[in-house]
Amino acid sequence: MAASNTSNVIGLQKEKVLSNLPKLFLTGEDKVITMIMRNGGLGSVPVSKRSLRIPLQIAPGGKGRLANFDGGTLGRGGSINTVPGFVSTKGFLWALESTTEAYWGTNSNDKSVASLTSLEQAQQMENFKQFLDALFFSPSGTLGVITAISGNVLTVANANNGYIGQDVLFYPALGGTVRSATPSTFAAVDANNKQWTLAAAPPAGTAVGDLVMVDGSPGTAGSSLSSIYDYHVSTNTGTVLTLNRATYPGQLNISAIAGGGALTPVMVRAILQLSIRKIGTKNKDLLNSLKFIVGVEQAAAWEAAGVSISQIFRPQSGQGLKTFDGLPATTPDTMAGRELITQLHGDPTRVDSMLIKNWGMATTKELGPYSPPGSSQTVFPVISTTDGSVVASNLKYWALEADVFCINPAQESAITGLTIPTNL
Amino acid sequence: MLRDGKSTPEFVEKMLAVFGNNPHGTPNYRLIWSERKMLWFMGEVAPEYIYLEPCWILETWLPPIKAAGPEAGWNELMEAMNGEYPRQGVYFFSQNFPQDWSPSEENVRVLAKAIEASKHIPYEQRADAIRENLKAKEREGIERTAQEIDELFDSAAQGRIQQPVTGKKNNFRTPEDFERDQERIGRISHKDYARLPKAGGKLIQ
Repeated sequence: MAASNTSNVIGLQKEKVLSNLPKLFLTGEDKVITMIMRNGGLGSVPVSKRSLRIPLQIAPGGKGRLANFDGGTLGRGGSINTVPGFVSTKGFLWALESTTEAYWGTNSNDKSVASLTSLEQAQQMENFKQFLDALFFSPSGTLGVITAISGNVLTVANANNGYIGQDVLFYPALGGTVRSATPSTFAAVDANNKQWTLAAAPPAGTAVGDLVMVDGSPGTAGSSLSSIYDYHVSTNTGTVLTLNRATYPGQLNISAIAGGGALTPVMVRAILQLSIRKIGTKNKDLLNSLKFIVGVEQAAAWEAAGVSISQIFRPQSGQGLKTFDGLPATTPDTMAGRELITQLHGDPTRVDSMLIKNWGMATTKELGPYSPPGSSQTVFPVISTTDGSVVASNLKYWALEADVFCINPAQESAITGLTIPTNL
Repeated sequence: MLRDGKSTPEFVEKMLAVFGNNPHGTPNYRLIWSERKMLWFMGEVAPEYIYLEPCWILETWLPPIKAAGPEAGWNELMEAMNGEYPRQGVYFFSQNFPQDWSPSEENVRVLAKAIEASKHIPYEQRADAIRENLKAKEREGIERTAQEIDELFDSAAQGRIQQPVTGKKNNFRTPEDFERDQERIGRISHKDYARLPKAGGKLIQ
């Protein structure tokens, strides 16, 4: 009898599946939006669908003058002047859908290395927050502006604002007509090359300069989550909190330096000092909440300035030091002594300072699973449009009805128009 | 500009001298008490580190081009804010220390060495390391959420009230916890078994 070979024992052999599930993508951090929601000075403020009124004092009141107390007329006085700013909440959704069989096929350790239910539950909130964080760095929901198109591949300034599988719409400009009401989908996100690859050809008419906007966007200004860049405007134009900046010159706009070159420590020192002048030196709580927000590009530029320790030598959380024993493992990333938050979303040519105590989130529906009022149902079967029966596919939604606001943008600052280091 | 105040221990100055002097004859690194540092800004001399609680600060000297960019780019606005182009270079913040920290030779030496080593790294490598660290933080966030969900399932499956604590500190299980769970496994359904956490939580008895 011939010796058994592999084909003779193939029926006996087990297939091994590795139990770890590496992620081959990076959707970005949600640190900034989470800070605003939870740890911001104002946190989540419950509001109805009536706009949240934010009282702002615009003038100190009183009139100073020289006086003649020897029988002179003293003159009339004045008092403080306040105006209300307004914030309205908007709806945001994260939708998951899987077939019933996909859940059944993975619902025990015997069948699957991880259950689809657990994976969805573990990841959906993080992913939703990362999506919201991207919106916080995308004014009016503009994830990017197309700088080149080649077939299905779009080039933008920062591809990290999108994620694989995301649906988007194209508009020629804010207030323009959508190129197609049917969303396009990102099949690939290539952050290094700053490119999004669409699953299908872009809609007819899509051109360089078009705005790539979040799905559901009407393509109008202010229709998405308010962005840091809506508040971080250095000119006296446009509106903030529904107030016209031109009416209150210097009071609703930030201090900014036009970088126009590589990031330097002197620029950072200057915007820090500009903020300090607006905050006052005695308001320690507010001063202590100042943080710098940068993308990877400017974080690398900051390292190259030669004052900080490269991340190459930094330990990752929970690990020992990579190279330099004795360097405190908890050494925070700082820029001039203030916390430096490096994240993937936003404009790679900017450094923004934020006073977290000035920020909050007006919230009509807090971030969480969607349920119809009066029900605890969070999973919804798809209903067939042909015969009205249940389809074996299930929808789950995470919802948020809210908007972000900043009560005193004038105390914040930015460096704009910085060059991006070569090869980044 | 430095005003009078808490002086740097001599042994630290000696140790930092190892890292050499700049072309103007002053040390490349210096450790100063934050309240001493003054700054010329918009026509006024003011304390630079007013935004920090008083503390020790390690400063690095930067040549003009690194500190302020090329002189040709020093425009009127920069001059109005910062004064003349800093041809002598600038001492700039590198690292601060907790208020109750006393300078130790070893700690300051390691930091200065790490900053020196960080100066000549290609941008791509820097960016890769930053992204790697971001990825690790994201992974941590997902794991933390998964752990919290596991703990919730643990409580739900066992009908117990769980301490309102989450995270790794809550996952130290005693042999008694393990035995108790083993007993329960015999009593709960397969579906619930699948939901039992890998790490579990500390239950209130």
